[in-house]
Amino acid sequence: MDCKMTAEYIGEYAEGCLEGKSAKEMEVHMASCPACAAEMVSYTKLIDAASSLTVEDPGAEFWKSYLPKLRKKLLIQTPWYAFLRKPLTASISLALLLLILLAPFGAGRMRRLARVRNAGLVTEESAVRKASSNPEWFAAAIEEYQLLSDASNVAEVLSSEEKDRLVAEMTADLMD
Amino acid sequence: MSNDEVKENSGQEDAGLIGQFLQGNEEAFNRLVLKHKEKVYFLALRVLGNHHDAEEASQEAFIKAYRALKKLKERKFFFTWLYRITFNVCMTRKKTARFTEPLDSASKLRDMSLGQGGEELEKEELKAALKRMTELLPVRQRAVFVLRIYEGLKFEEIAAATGLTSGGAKANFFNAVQKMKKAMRGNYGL
Repeated sequence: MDCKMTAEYIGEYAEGCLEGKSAKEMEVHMASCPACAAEMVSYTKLIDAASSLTVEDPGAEFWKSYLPKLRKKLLIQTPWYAFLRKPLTASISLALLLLILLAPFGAGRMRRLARVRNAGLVTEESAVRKASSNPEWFAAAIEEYQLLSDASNVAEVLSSEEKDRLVAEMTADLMD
Repeated sequence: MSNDEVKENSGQEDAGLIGQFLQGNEEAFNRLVLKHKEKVYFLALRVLGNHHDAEEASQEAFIKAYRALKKLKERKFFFTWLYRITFNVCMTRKKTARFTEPLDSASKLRDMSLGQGGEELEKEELKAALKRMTELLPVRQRAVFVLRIYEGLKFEEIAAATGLTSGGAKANFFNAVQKMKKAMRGNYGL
């Protein structure tokens, strides 16, 4: 290795980037060439001086306000629909949207079921009053009542008018 | 624990926090910021040279990271990725700055050195001269120099953080050192 090549690779040598044969050749050359050895010292001195350069710390107040400032910027710069980008918030939003859209249908169904339940209760009260005087009729009435009180079954199989008619018939029977 | 092991553990911790953040935990991102804010700020400060720009650039880097975290594939290399974002933000800021230093600042470096008249300066003066010279380096060389000298990154890591090749990172670093050495030759005992 000559001085020209040494000058070219001195940085890599000083940084420990040269390995094996190249590093060995560099080492041998340095030992026999005072100019290149001086160059190496100069390089190391510059790097050492640069390494010891410090920068001013902005202080505790700056670090304390760093995250709040960042959060504020994020809030300002984030579009309103950004929450849809996250799976959790997007799922919750979708669920809420579906709930709002389907609510009118659900409310109608709930009202119909409530009517059936109320009708069943009226029938039950009447049935209880009459039960002691006619046990056979009571057994049949209970069977009908089960059908009425099971709101979901009733809602599935009977229309509103049919339910009303059935309740009226049962009430009439009970009153007889 | 070796330096590599420390980096590995830190990388695993980052990966865990990123996982939590992507599941909707905003606090996990706060912890990432608190963990890395100083390194990001000081990198920006050394590259940009003033507090105001460094604060703006470092916060911009975190905002970009916040928005792009889901695209990060190797989560344990979050820090290198964050360095890269910071580096790019600094490059952009330097390019668009109103008063941009000329890219070839070699002549300025020489002028600065010639003014000293070959006198031996004290250590503090050497440091001050070096600081000014570092600021006059082209921004890419300066960033590579900062990452190598102050952050102690390997050239492979610098390459990952800057988008250069490993050889390109080495070339930028040695060019920076050569420029400074040339400018200071005969002074400060160099």
